[in-house]
Amino acid sequence: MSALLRVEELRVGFGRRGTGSVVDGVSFAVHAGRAVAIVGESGSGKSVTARTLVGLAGAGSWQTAEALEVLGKPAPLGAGPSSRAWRSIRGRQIGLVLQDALVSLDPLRPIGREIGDAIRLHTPLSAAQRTARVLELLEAVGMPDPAERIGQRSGELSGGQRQRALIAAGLAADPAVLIADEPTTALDTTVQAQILALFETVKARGTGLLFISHDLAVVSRIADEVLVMRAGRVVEQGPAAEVLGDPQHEYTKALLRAVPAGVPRGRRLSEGAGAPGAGAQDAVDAAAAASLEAPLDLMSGGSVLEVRDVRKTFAVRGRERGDVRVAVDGVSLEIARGTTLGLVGESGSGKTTLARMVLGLATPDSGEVLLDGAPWAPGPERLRRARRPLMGAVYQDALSSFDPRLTVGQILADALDVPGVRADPRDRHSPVAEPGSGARTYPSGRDAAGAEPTGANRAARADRVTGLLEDVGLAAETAGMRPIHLSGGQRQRVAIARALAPGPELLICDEPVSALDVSIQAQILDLFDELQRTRGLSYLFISHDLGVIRHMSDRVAVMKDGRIVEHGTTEAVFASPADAYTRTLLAAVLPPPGPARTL
Amino acid sequence: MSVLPEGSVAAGWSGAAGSAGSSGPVGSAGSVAGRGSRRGRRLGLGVGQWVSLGFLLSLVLAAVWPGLLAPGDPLAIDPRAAFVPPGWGHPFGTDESGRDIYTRVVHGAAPSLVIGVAATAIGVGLALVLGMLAALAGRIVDFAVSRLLEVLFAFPGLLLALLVITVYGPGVVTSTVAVGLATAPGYARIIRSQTLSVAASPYIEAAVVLGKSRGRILARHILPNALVPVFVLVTLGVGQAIVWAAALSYLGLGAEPPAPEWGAMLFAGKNYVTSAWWMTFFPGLVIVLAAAATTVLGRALQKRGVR
Amino acid sequence: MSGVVGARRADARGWGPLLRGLLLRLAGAVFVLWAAATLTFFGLRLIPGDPAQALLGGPGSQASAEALAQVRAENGLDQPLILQYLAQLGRLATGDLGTSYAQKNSVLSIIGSQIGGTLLLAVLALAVAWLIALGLALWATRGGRIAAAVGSGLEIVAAAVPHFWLALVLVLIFSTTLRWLPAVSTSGPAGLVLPVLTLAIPLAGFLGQVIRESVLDALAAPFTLSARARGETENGIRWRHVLRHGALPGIALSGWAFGWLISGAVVVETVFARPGLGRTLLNAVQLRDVPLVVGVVLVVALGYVLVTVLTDGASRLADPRERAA
Repeated sequence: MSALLRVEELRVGFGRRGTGSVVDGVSFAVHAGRAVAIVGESGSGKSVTARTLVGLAGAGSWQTAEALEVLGKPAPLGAGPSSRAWRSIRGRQIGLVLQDALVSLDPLRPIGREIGDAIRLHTPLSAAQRTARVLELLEAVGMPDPAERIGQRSGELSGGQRQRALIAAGLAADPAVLIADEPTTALDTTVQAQILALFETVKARGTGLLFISHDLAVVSRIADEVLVMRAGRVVEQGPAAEVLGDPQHEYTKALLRAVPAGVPRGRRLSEGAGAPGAGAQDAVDAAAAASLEAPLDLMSGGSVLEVRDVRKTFAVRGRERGDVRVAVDGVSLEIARGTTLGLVGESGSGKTTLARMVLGLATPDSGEVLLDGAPWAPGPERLRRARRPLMGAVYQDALSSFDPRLTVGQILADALDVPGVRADPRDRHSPVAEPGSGARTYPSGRDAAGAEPTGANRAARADRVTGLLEDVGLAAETAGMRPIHLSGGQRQRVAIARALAPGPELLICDEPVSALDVSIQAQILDLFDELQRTRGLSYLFISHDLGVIRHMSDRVAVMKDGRIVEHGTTEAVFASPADAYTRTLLAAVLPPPGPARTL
Repeated sequence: MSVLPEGSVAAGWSGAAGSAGSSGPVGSAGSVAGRGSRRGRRLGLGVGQWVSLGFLLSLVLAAVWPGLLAPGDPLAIDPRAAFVPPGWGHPFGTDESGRDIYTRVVHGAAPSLVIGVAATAIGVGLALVLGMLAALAGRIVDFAVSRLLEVLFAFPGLLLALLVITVYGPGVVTSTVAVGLATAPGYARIIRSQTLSVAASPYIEAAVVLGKSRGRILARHILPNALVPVFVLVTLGVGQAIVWAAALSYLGLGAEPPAPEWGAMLFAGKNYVTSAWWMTFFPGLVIVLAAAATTVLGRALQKRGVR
Repeated sequence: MSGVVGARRADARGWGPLLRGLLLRLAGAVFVLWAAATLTFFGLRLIPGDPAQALLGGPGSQASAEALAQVRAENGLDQPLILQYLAQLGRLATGDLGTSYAQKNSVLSIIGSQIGGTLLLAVLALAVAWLIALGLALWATRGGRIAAAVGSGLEIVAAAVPHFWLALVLVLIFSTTLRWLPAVSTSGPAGLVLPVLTLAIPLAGFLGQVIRESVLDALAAPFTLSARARGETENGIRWRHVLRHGALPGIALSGWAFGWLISGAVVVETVFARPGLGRTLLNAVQLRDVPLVVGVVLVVALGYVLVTVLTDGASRLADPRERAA
């Protein structure tokens, strides 16, 4: 069987021809009814590869290939991006589906028009025939109420519906090959499972699939062949079962190891800085196992956080007066000292509203929050302020949580300069610092009287900033940089350092790793784990990712429509879920890729 | 008068505001990066920006030390040299009394710039008070100020300035104040929305979580960040204020001839447009260049401000 | 196809909030007009001097005490301020804008006779400005650095050019040198060309900057990439996608543009000696003819408010995202 799409030694770069290459020697072939997946982290060149195949690599790019054939004919690689030759291939021979359908469909046009455009461009069908075909397509991609949706714009649809519409647009002119670039990335777990099932039916109908993703679990579900890309090069390529089941290249192995799903709590996901190799991993595991017992002592301290029956409603705009949406509906939680409570739920389940109430940023309509057994919220901010240092927060979007004018050093110094900062939070819990644990006594920035810092202790302040940076694995020079110039992982480390600065007991982490690549995510999760062990921290860890939640949590709460539908130890919830929704959620989770693991 | 279409300035800042709001469970890194690279290409001073900066600096020099660029007396009358067209000796020509237009244009820089800067200062100063009050002093104040701004917007463009002049009579001071007052509502709206978006940004929440007091958050985070676009507003605004003050002078409501102020020179040349075009052409050209140069620099600042 | 379906959808969900939004806007408009009238009424009381004196021709008129008293009684100036204010509101509500001091004529009839020419000028200028701005923005974003630099340079200079100077340059070129068009506005269409261009070009500069910015955003947006990946042509992308996104912020600026055009009309009508509301206003300001100034200002405020309500409705129609807001 001849290939629908064949690429050999594809090179793409930006700048002068031959320089600045971002794709360097990629070869593969897509066959009918088969799926090739390119997997890699951001900057690996996977998306550029996909776009080059339809002549849309971008302005200022150059492309060369030993062969690029679409349906057996050479593609017009040198032709301009808007040339007729490319336009006859796009949509007709190769369809492209982008991620995030909210911005990938024109927000001002009904989806019916968007889907119909591909038909109008490539077939002689009349307007009425096009409408009929669009309805067929919407039906085929499993869109509910196609007749109604056809006139709606992308903003009026849910995330899953938008992605279905985008796939329908990609399939509209019946292309032989469909390229899907991160088509499930922004979707909830259950919706992701539905969309993947849709791609499987597309594949079964004989369409060749090229699937671009950063998510190894997704790739292992859909792909027949896998290319692992890193910095523009293919590091490993072959049948999916081999590459994911028995990886040969170190990078592939590291990627697979970084996936938290099925990795027991406390075990490292990333290579430790000074401990590469399998032997060291055992040592780390042993240390982790030992340290897991340590928090148990601390649990005698009771609950660090107690949430009692909180409820929060929002007025709905544009509707009848008094119409409200219940965001959080009678939630009660408890976090034992030194442990992690994982809060999992899909978008709109009320996780973030709950986090904001715990942080004292939103006032509950009813119910209360207790910190260290004392009332925390509701109440005036004035009363909370003195105890603020006990609770820190880490957000998904670290960059926007930093004042854009400040450097990392200034951000951290600001965080240290609040009343009530404890000189060394570990004093309270671990009177004898372990010699190897890197325990450090920070010189206090303020004297007992709480005087403003003077020139003499400005140096002391700088030392404390350096210490904080070291604790989160950043170089001292980072202090002089602005967050905008840091990578995503570094920004999240700075955010963690800021949260640690006042010496908190509890961190509220709201999707702290959701925007990160899997290898960076692994490092940040390991950092959270290490900090918990060395500092006896407690976490409220919020995520939509069940794998992350399982790896991080001692106890798990599952949230849906503002309620906790299931609550228990991680073991119990994952092994024998009692609630129907939890079971649906777990069923939608893709099995972790790679060598067999216990889920 | 809202000399600037607020949309244009606000649009420039929406980038900053937009990036502050996080999106969905996973941020759409692709679109952000795309936007960043487009902005990125415009950073750094281009040729147009250097030329604009040079022109504005020479205007400032002309205002501070006019004798250096034009040693003559801007008011010296020479009836024998009336209506001399541009050429050697009189590069911009002479007026009906034989005064050298070039000398007058150079000496006119000081009053014209002072009027432009003063009008902008009045407008932005008032706007700062109104805009910050609306954004930070609670809902009742916000409601009142916002309604007041809406009402002032109903006197668009020159109308508010003309009302002020009707009440207080024409003259340099009145027209300067009038331009300032008329620009204030537009500035106030931009400052209000910028302050609101800063106050609602995640880094302010992060400061609350750290236990910072309201006063400290205001002083350390809200004010400095909300004031950044004011620099852009001032830069864009001075050029436009010069244009509008000159328009009032041209209509006979501002500075009066024979003062070497650009608008007054235009007013004086009005009756000789067809016979001695240079009398109005050159003062007008300087106004156009000054306004264009401030726009170029203001936009450059604006692009730089979008992080 | 989807047009029909779209209309049905709008019926079910779209029109309700749309109508409610419009009603709210109208209520706001009435408030703004009331406040504008109130502000001008009390603001003008700040004028030094006696309104009765002004009615009789200003301080130089040597009016007798009896004459002043009579004028006061006739115009209700001897009443308490609050009663005068209420009477003024009552008159405004019935459309009575008072009598011009200088022209001794009903303000309403003066405005009625002048407004037509100004509206014609403004509407033509708005149309021409939109054409220039859209054309320039689409051309400047066609690709290539030179087009982009030239486009943005033209926009900045156009926006910086004051009306009076532009008028001068146009007259020098087209009347004095080429002798194609009259320097002074005549009644025929030829007399309209230069005033309309003078008014339109700076506005086009402002609109162009805003439109080009959003055209660039739309061209960089993922939905444009999606459309290209479907095989859409460059023209198709511009007409079906980019144009609408580009026009939206321009539409939102219409209220501002209206004010800009009326202000410009003050200058342009003066330069080209063209009868109209702008020149009437300028004369009234110079003569400090308070009732006429206030009348014109209130009529312009009414126009501004109407334009904002209409453009608000228009952008809600064009952009479904606005409807939720």
